[in-house]
Amino acid sequence: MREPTYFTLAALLDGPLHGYAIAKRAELVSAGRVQLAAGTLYAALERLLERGLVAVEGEEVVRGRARRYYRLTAAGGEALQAEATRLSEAASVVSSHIPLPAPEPAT
Amino acid sequence: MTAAESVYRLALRAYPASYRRERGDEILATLDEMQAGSPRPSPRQVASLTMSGVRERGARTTGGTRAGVWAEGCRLAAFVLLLLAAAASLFVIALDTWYSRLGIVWPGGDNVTYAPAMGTGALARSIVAVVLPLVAAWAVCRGRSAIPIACSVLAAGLFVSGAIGTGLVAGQSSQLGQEWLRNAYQLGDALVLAAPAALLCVGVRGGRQRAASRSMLWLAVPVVLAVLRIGFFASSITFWPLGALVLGWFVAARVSPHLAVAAFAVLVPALAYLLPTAIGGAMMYEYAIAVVAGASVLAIASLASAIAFGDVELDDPLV
Repeated sequence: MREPTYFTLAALLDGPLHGYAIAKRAELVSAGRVQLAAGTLYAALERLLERGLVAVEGEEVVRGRARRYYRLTAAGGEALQAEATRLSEAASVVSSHIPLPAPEPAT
Repeated sequence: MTAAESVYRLALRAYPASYRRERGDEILATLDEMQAGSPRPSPRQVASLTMSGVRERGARTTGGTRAGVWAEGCRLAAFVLLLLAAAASLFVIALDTWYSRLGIVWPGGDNVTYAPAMGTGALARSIVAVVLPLVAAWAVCRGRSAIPIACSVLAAGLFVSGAIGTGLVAGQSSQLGQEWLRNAYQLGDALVLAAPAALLCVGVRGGRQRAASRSMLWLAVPVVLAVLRIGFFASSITFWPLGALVLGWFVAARVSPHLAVAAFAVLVPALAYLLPTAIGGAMMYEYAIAVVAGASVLAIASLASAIAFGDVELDDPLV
């Protein structure tokens, strides 16, 4: 899972959001590292919808334009959790690294 | 409508029409909020929309499968080659008409002596060399494969039999003293004419039964290319379309894998035409273009093999 996808899913952990709110939330939870442009955001949402990892929760009209809300599905939550576990395990390889004892010099 | 929204609406044209109908307003609303009141469009947003739009088109036409990527890439390459072949022949007719018959010289040009007037028979053959690729390109626009394959085979057959000259080198070959160079040019011409048939056969076998249709506006491309080339021809820049193609690949390959396949499939026959000119020609820039084109072929080949062996994600380039 690529970083924009991961943080798009993570942005939806606290409940349904619309496109702009997802981008802002992803930026916040990634400490500013992931700044989703609109094209990237909607490409990610399109693929996540196709895979059933997010679903459209509802729609409202704001200033004459449709605004859709997206929510994390059960499958999306599981995929996000699996990715978090994978990243955590990968990180622990480095963070909990115990150096091997230096080999004894040959005599 | 603000200036930013106008630009974003234009960038949204990169998406398929059905996608725009479904999501266009929603994306514009999100962009409006991202703008935070600024009237100027963000280049980053424009680039993102354009690339995502082209990727979305690619994902729909290829079906996100490896076979689909190769098939659509080959069909696209065939289409480009047909347009280039038509443009090249149209260029010769325009050259003949403008310079030799009407005596109009482009500012700075000295081409009156370069292009002697063609005979009526040669002109008629060049017209055939325009019509066949154009009919084939029209059929590709309609999503057909059989007609363009037939036209391509017919044009290549007529060319090999000596019945027509494609126009890619017509007007030059009579003045080329070296036999090998003339033969090399003719081989390049035959390849450019025959390649669409071969590529479309790959497209038919590897892709869906009916190819995606394209806008008929693409048929205007040969006219624009021929007119532009007339202008550049006068200043001796005769191979700018190939140079543009090479540069364009670096962008295209990053956007969608089927564009990389297409660029590769176009460059191979195009190089067959370009290299003899680089070797036999006198212009330094032609050597430079040949070197860049050669390096590009290697780069494209490595990317194409990466696609073939699964190192590139095809179904969702962004996710």
